[in-house]
Amino acid sequence: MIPTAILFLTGLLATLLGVEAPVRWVRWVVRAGLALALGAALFFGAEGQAFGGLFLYDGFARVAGVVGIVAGLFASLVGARYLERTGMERFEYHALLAYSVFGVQVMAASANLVVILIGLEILSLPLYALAALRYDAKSEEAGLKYFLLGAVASAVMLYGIVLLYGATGSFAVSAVGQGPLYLAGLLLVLAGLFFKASLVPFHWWAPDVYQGAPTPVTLYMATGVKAAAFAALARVVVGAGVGGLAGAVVALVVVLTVFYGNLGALAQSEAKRLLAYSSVAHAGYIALAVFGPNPAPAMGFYLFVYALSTGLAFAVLSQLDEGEGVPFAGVKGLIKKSPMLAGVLAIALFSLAGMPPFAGFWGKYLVFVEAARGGQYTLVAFALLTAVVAAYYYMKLLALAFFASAGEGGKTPEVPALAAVTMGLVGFLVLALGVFPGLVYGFFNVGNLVP
Amino acid sequence: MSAFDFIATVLLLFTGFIAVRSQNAVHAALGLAANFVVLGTVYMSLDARFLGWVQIIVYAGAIMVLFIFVVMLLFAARAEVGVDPLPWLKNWGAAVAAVFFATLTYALSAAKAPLAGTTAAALLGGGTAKAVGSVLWGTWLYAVLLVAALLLVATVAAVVLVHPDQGQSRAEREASRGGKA
Repeated sequence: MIPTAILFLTGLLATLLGVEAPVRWVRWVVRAGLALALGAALFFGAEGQAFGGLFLYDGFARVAGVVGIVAGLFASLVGARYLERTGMERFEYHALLAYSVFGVQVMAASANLVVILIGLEILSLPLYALAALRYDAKSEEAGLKYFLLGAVASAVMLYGIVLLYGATGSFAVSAVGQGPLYLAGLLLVLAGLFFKASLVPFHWWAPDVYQGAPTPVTLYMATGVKAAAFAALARVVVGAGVGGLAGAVVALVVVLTVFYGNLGALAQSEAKRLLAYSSVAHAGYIALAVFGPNPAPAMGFYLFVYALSTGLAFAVLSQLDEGEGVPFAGVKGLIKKSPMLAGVLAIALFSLAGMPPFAGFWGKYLVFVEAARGGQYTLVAFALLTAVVAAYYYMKLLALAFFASAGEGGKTPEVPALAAVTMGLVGFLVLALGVFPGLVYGFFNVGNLVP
Repeated sequence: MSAFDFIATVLLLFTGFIAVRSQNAVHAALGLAANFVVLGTVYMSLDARFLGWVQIIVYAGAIMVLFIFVVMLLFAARAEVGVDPLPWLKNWGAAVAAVFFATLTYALSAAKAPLAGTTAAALLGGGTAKAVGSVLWGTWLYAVLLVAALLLVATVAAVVLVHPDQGQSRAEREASRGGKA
C-alpha cells in the first residue's frame, strides 16, 4: 500500500505545485517521489491485502510495480534534453508521468477484474495526453490513435468482464466457469489485455504510437505499460487455466507475435519504429512464460531486464532525437560522434538480442525453460528461430552506429550529465545482471499469480 | 419475453440505429439520449431502481446535454461528415458485428445464471440508493477511491491538451523562447 500511496501523492503534489512553482521544481518532486516509492517497494513492500482483498500486494505485484517505477524514473531522468529541444516541457508532463506509474501499481496489485480495469484506465489516460504533448501532426496522430484504439480495447475488456460476471458470479480472475458465455467473456477480456501488451493481432497501434510519441514517453510506454499489462494478463490466463481455451489462444497469439514482430522489424528504416516492432516481438517472448508451472519468476525477470534494455535503447534515441524521430541516418557513425552513446546502445541491443554475457540472455533463457517445462516444445522452437531473425536487425542497427561513416551535417549530440550517469548505471546493471543474474533473481522468485 | 421486453428491445435498437447512422450530429446525440432513457427504464424494471435513475439523470441529463452543447459550439451539426477515408471497412464492420451478435445471442441463450433468481433478488435489496450505497462504500470502497483518482487524472490530462499556452506551434514557441533569452 505504501508505494501506491506515495505515487498518488507525488502526482497530486506535482499537480498542485506546478500551478505556482517553476517546472524544474515539479521535475525534481516527481523524481524524488518515484525514487521514494521505489525504495518503499524494495524495502518496505510488505505483502498483504487490503479493502477486503480488492488490493492484493503479492510478490508479483511488487515485481511488476517495481518495473513500472523504474521505467517512470528512467524516462524522467534521461528525458530532460528531449523535452528542452522540443519545447514541450511543462509541469503537467511530470504529473501525468507520476499518475501513470500510479496506474501501473494499481493494475499490478489486484486480482479483481474491475480494479484491474480501473488501473488500466489510470495508467492509460495520462499516456494518451503525453503521446500528443509535442503538438505536431505526428504526435497528435499518435495520441489520437492511441486514445481511440485504447478506448475501444477498454470497452471490449469491460464487455468481457460483464459477461464473465454473468457466467461465474464473480469478478475474481480465478473464477472459472463453463459454457459459451464464460468463453466469450474470457476471450473479450484477453483481447483487451492483448491490446495493452501489444500482442499480434492487436498490435497495429504500437509502431505508429511509439514512433509518433515523444521519445521519453515511448521509453516509458514500451516498458512500464507492458509490465502492468502482463501482470494482469498473466493473472487472467493462469486463473483461467492454460490447459483450456485461454492457453490455446495465448499460444496462437505468441506464434503470430514473435513471427510478425520480428519480420516487421526487418523492414524498418527508422530506429524508434524498429524498436517498436522489437517490443512487439518481446511481448511474445514474455507471454511464453505463462505456460510454465511457475510463471511468475521468469516473467518478472524478463520484464525487468527487457525494461532496462529497451529503456536504454530509447534513452540513447532520446539524446539523438530533435523531435522528428531518429532515421537510420541519424544513428550512422555514432561511435565517432559520441563513443559513450554508441557503447550504451551496443549494450542495449546485445541484451535485447539475447547474447550471452548480457542480462537479456537470462531473460530469454528463463522464459524458454519455463515454456519447455510446460511442455510447449513447438512454441519454444519457433520462438528460438525468430530470435535468430531478431539478432539480424539489432546487429544491423549496431553496425550502422559503429561501422558506417557519419556523413555530412552530423553534429555531436550533447548529453546532459544526469542522463549520461543514468545510462551508464543502467548499462552497467545490464552487464552485471548478465554475468551475475543470481544477484537479483531472488527478488523475482515469487510464488503464485492467483490467490 | 413479455410485451414490455419486446417494446424496450425495439426502442433500444431503433434509437441505437439513429445514434450510429444519423448524418446530423444533433440527431445522433438525441437518439443516444433516448437510448439512455429506455435503458434506464429497463434497469428499473429489473429492480435496479437507483441505477435506472442515475442512468437517466447522469447520462441522458448531464452528459448528453454537455455533448449537445459542444456539438452546437463547434458547429458540428452539419449534414456532411466529410469523406469516409475507409469506405470498404463498413461492410467488414457490419459482418463482424453480425457474427459477434450471433455468438453472443447463442452464448446468452445457452447460459445459466450462477445464482437463482430469488437469491439474486434478495441480494439486490430493491436496488435502492441505500442498498447500492452500502455495497459501494463497503465492499467496493477501494474501487470508488480509485475512480476518484481516475477522474482527477482524466481532468489533468484533458486540461493539458487544451491549455491555451500550448496552442502555438513549436516554431512559435522557439521564437518566443529565443526572444526571452
